[in-house]
Amino acid sequence: MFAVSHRDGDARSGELSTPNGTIATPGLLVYTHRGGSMNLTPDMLEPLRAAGLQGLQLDVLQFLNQPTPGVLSGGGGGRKFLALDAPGTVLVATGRDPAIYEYTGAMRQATNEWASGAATVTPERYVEALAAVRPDVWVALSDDVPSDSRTDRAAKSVDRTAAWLGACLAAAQQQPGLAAAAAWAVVQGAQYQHERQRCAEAVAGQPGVSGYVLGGLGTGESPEQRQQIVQAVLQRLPAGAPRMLSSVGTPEEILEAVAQGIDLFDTAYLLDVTNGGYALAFPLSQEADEAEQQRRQQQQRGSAAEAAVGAAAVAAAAAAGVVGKRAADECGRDDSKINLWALAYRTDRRPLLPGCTCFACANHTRAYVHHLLQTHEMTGQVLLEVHNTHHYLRFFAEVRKAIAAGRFAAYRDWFLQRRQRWLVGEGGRQ
Amino acid sequence: MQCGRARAARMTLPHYVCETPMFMPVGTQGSVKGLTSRQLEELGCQVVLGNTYHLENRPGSELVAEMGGLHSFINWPRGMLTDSGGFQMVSLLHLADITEEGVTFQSPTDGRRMLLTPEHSIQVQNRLGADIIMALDDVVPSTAADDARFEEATHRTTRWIDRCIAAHGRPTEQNLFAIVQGGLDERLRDISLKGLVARGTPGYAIGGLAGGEDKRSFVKVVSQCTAGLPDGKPRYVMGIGYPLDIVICSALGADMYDSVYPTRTARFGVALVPEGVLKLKNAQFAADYRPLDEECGCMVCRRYSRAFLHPLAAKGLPFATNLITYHNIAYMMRLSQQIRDAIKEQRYPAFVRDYVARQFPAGDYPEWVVESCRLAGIELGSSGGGAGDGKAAAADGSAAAADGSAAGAAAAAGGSRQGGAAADGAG
Ligand SMILES: [Zn+2]
Ligand SMILES: [Zn+2]
Repeated sequence: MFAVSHRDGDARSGELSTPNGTIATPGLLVYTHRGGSMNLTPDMLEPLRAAGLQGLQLDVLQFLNQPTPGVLSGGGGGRKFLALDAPGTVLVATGRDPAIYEYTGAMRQATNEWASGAATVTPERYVEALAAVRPDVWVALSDDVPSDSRTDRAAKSVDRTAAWLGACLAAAQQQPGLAAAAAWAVVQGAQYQHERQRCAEAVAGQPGVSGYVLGGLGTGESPEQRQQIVQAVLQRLPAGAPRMLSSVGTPEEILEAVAQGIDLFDTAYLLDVTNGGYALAFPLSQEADEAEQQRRQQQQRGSAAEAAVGAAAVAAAAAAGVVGKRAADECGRDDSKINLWALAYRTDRRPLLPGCTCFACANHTRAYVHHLLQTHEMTGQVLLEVHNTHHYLRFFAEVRKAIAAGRFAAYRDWFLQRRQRWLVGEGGRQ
Repeated sequence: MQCGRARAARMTLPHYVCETPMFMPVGTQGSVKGLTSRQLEELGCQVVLGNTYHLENRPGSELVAEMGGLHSFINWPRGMLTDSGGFQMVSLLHLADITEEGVTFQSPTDGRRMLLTPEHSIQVQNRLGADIIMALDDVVPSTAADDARFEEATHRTTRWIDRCIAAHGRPTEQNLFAIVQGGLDERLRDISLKGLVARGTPGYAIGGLAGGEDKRSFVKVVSQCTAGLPDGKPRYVMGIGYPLDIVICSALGADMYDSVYPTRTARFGVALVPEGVLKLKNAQFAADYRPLDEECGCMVCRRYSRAFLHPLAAKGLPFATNLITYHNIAYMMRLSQQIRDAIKEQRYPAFVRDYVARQFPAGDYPEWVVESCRLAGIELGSSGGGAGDGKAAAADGSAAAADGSAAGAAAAAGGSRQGGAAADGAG
């Protein structure tokens, strides 16, 4: 069940209800690998509910073997076997691991299990694994091809995706365990608008389909190309159905897609940010941004005044101090995140993001996380993943709030302008 | 509380009041493999180790001091212990050389010759600020040196303790432990014991073990040392992490243990259970829906089955390592608690008998186990005999031969001492 509660331009907010819980949209599905978060044990993941954790993404192809569907079913089904059975946890099973592709589009080497999975998977086997996972929402198997595929390959992928949807729906009829789960169709077609449209028309309104996934994106297409594809596809999908954009996930990309009417995201963005040693640090609202600006200006004015009053030596020392502070603030950061590998954080006692209420920020310093990265201690990744997931979930909450208040356009403009301001201002100073 | 030679005690440290016997997990570089300090607290850890050699390399003790000490830097409110750094220099670095002045070694960063003296080690440990600091001792591998070298090392360790005591700048905030040396030689151990006991340090460690010596010699030394150390001071057997070894050493009157074994073995997919170990990579666990340890009740055992962990462990995923590490620490903490309870309730001999019987269900008790229990005044009863000088690891019937991947470094009793080397090698 999906209900839109607010519209703001093409952006919309609402709620996706499932037997095991609801997801507020626009929403983020937190990435899992074989049913586990990359670094977080359940006791670290659970508290993220307070920040808005509701939905988890699972890749069905990871449950074709090791463990097999039989093992999952024998263990009480995916929810229980994977220990994802806390009340309110919504499981969305897809046929694509978003971490297989970089969010910039290149194929990943390390986690590329797609090739072997795709070689043997049929719609019937796929649905067998689905039934064992027992998700709340399942996404049909599709022929996932990258944006720059040749036209004939794209056409073939559209034909296959439509045929596999039919086969999946038929096979799912035989699985009582999937009776209460929502079935979603995928739209493929690479970068070609006419193929995308053909696919959308082929899967839209199929009996039993209640939602749609835009697949094959985040694979190297330009932002303009993606925008055009999304627009062309959404025009041909039922307006009241939930729409998910797969494998696209930077804050700017999220805002652009939400502006077009996308409701749900699965992405490996947080994985990449965390693995890179970054902590997300962008302000969540315009008010927070302005307060931060003010604080910085005061700091600068204060040190400028100091420098003006004192003797030359004092001025030089103060200037050095200012440079030091600025370096600590600006080295190893961009407009949205700080890089904890940077030496600037060696003795920084501040939390990853001052004001953040996540476990990592409440308990540990940048200096400690920097040290953990330097010494290749896993706990560094754990703390970063906690913070990044927490921060991103709160970002989505702000997006929903802006839509509900009818000020999404202003929110998005502020966010994008902030980035511009950074590029010409603070960032350029480095 | 005493039960035979075994004892349960309370040890008051500046940051925490500990219950002994206890196992102390090793947080070599300021974290215990993938766990947060909050999780260690929840697991009941009382003291966490830091390795001085590693911490002085990165981030450096001066930085740690600037950040308010190790406790504050890693946000750990309970007890901490740092080692002297000497052992890891000798074992990790080529060209390390010991003279009366100290340990000379080649800097791993710029290749310069450097010197670690007793004074320098204590100074660094004073900056790190752990509750317990260790004296710099003259370390000789117990299996690879001549008698003359052991003789020299024994006396030098005693001379160095005086330099450590003199250099100790924070005696009211940090407890300096002396380390008994003397190899496997009874006479030398006796000399070492007498010399160090005379100095009256707040606690004592039994050093020079866990280096590949045979188990019988190992227990003999522990037994001699615990007998020769004062009753009112804690006794710490360095580098001991095999659960069975801890049960045995506690029977002989030891109080503290540390080793990277529980965390290191987790990285190879090996979980600790009362029967021995589970090697989760083995296909036999593919559809085994039991928790790792049915008696455990830790977060991992409450939620996950062996079948869930098997494919993750087989692929070596960090998620699996994190979960198994968590359980293994929980296991060591529960074992420590069980040992304490059994001593306090005056039933430690029965506890040891049950524990050994579970690890060797066929009754084929290794001779060293039988003998050490006899030293502790515990009769084990029937022994199959002939099992010889087992290495005290896996007793799980299916996985009897200790975990292959870890066997090399763990052939001795694991230990933070090997641990440093292992962490670098297998990291
Ligand atoms: Zn945070
Ligand atoms: Zn457990």
